Amino acid sequence: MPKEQTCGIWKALGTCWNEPGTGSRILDTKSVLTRLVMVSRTIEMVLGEGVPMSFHSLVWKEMRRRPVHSLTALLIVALGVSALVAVESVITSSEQNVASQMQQLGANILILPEGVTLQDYHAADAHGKSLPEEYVTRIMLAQLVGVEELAPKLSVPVEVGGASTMLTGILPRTEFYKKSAWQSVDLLTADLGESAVGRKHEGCGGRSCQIATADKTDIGSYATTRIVHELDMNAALIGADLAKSQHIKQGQTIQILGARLKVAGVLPATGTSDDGRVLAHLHRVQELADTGPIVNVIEVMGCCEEAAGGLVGELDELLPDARVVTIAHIVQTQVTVNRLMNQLSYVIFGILMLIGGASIASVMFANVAERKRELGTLMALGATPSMVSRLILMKASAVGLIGGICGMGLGLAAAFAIGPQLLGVATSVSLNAVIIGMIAALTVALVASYPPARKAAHLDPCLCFQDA
Amino acid sequence: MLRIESIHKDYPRGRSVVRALHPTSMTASKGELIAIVGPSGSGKSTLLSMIGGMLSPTSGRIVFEGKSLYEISVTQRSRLRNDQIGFLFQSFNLVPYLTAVENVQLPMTFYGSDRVSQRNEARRLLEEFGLAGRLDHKPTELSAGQQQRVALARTLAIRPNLILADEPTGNLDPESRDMVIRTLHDLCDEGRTTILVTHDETVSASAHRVLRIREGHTSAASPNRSCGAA
Ligand SMILES: Nc1ncnc2c1ncn2[C@@H]1O[C@H](COP(=O)(O)OP(=O)(O)O)[C@@H](O)[C@H]1O
Ligand SMILES: [Mg+2]
Repeated sequence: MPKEQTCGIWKALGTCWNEPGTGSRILDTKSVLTRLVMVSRTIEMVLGEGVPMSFHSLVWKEMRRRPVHSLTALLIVALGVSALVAVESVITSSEQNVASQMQQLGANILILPEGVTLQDYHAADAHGKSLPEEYVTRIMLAQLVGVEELAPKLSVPVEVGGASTMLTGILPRTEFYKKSAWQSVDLLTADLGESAVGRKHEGCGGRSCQIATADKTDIGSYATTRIVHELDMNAALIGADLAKSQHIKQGQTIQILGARLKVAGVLPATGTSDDGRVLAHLHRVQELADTGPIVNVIEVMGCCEEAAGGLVGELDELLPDARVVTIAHIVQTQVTVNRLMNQLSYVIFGILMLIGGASIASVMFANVAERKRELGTLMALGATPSMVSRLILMKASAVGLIGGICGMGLGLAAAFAIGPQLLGVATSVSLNAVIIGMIAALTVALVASYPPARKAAHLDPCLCFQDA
Repeated sequence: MLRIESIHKDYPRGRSVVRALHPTSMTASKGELIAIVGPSGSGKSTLLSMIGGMLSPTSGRIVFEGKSLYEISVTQRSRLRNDQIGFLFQSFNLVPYLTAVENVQLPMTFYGSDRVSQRNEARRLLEEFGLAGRLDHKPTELSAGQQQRVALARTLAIRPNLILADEPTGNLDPESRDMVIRTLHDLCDEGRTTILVTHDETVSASAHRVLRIREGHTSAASPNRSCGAA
C-alpha cells in the first residue's frame, strides 16, 4: 500500500493536490514559485519606494532602517511559535501513526522477555534479551483461540557492505508444518496450509487475516503481512532503504557473518525500521550468530481485537517467564508520551510568548523613548495621539506577525526534517498549532505594545522644540 | 486672526511651580511677521507651543481664526494644526528614515488619501526650493541649508495661514539664513502670518514687530515697520 502523503499548506495555496487513486501527492514547483513571486511583489508594493507613501508606511520605513533593532523580540516569538508548530505537527503525525497501527495490528500481541519495555512495535526485537524458541511450540500446542499466526524473531547486529545493520531471523510458515509433524500432534485443522497456522476465533466477524494465495508466493508481501510462507535457508530479504544505500539487487549474493546469502527479494518501503534490515531464516541466523535456539520476540497475529484481551491472560499463564503485551498497550505509551509532549510544547510556547511579549514591550518602550522628538514633530504637524500610538502598535504587530510566520516556517521545516526519522511516518501539518501560534503571536505583540503605545500617545508634542 | 488673551504658564517643579511665562497678551494679524527675541530659557518656546495648540496655558485664552484653541478637543486641535499651522524648527526635525519628498508629503498623508497628487505636490514644492536633484535623498545626505529648505517645503505643503518658527536660522550659514528669511517674508506678502523666535539681530530687524521676553516677562511688541512695507 503506497503511503498517503498530504499536501498540507501547499494545498491551501493551490499548488499541491493528491493524485486520485494512488494517494501520492503532486507538488507543482512552478506554481509554488509563481505564488512566491506574487507574494513578494505585494510586499514590495506595501514597503516599496516606487509607490507614494501613506501614513502607515512610516511603520515599515522606520523598521527597515534598523531591522536588527527588533530582531531579538522577533526571534523569541519565532522560537515559541516554531516549538509549538514543530512539536504539534510531529504529534499529529504520531497520532496518525498510532491510529494506523491500531487499525493494522490491533489484534496482535507481542511476547517479550521479562523486563523489556517497548515503545515501538516495529522495533520489538531490538533489545538484546531472549526467549527460548521452544515457547513457539508451546503456544502452538496450546491451540489458543485467536492465535492465527506466530512470528518469532531474532535480531543480531551485522555489517553489510561496510554498513552496520540488523540481521533478523524469521520463521517461515512452512516450518510450522514440519514442526507439527515432528511433534506428531494432530495439530491444527486439515486446511492448515491454506489458512492460518493457529486457530481462528469463531465469533469474530468481518475481517480475516488468512493469507491470500498470492501472498504465499510473493516474498515481498512480508512488508504488509509480516510473515512469509516459505524461505530458503540461504535466502535473504533486504529492506528498501538498505537495498538503496548499499545498491543491493534481487538475485545478488551478499556476505553476512561469513556466510553467503542470496537476495531473494527487496522489500517495499514500509516507513518502519524494517526498511534498514536484512531478513533471513530464523534457524540460519541462530546458526550464524551461534545463539542456540532462542528468539527476541514472538509476534502473535490475530484478526480479532475482541479476542486479544482474553488471549493475554491465557498466554501469560502459558508462559509465566515472558511478558505479554498488546498493541493497545504499546500504543498507550506512545499516546501518553504524546500527551506529555503536547502539554510541554504549550508550556514552552507560553514561556517563550511571555518572554517575547516582555521583549517586545521593552523594545517598543526604547523605541518610543528614542523617537520622542520625531513623534513630537509628527504631532506638531497634525498627527493625533491615536495616530502616533497606532504607529507603535503596528510596528509591534509586524514584529509579532513576522515572528509568527518565521516561526511557522521554522517549525514546519523542523517537523518535516525530524518527523520521519523520529516516527517513521510522513509529517503532516498541525493546522491547529499554526492557527494558535499565529493568533497568540499577534495577540502577545499587541498586548505587549499597548503600554509603550500609550506612552507614545501621551508624549508631550512640545518635545519637537528640543534641540537634536 | 490670532488673539492671545493674558495667558501664563506654570510648570510644576517638585512641590512648587515655576512660572515659565507671565501673563501675556498680544494679537497678530494676517500677513504679519512677528519676531520674538530673548535669552535662552526665557519662555520663547513655551509661548510658541501654546500658540501652536500643543501646550495648554495655565490660564488665559488663545483665539485662532475665531476658535478658542483649548476649548476644542485634542483631535480637533491636531486637525486644525494640520490644516492651518506650519512649524519650522532649529534642528529642522525631518523624519530621518524618509526621503526629502516623503518628508514633504508627510503632513498631507495624515488626513488626505490621494497619494499620487500628494507626491506630485511634494515634488513641485521641492523643485521650487531648488531641490529637484535631491528628491530621494535622506536628511543625512543633505546639508543644513538643504534640510531647512525641505522643512520649508514640508511647512508649505499644507498651505498654512500661520507659521510658527523656533530659531529656524539658528543652525544655518548666512546664505541659507537669508534665503529662509526671504521666503518667510514672501509668505507674509501672500497673507500668511509668521511668528518667529530668533536670537539673530539681523533677522529680528526685518520683522514687522518685535516681542521681547526676559525671564517670562514680555515687553510690548515694538513695531519695526508696518506690514507689507518690506
Ligand atoms: N516641560 C517643562 N517642564 C518644566 N519646565 C519647563 C518645561 N519646558 C520648559 N521649562 C522651563 O520653562 C522655562 C522656559 O523654557 P523655554 O520656553 O524652553 O525657553 P526658551 O525657548 O526661551 O529657551 C525654562 O526655565 C525651562 O526650564
Ligand atoms: Mg527654545
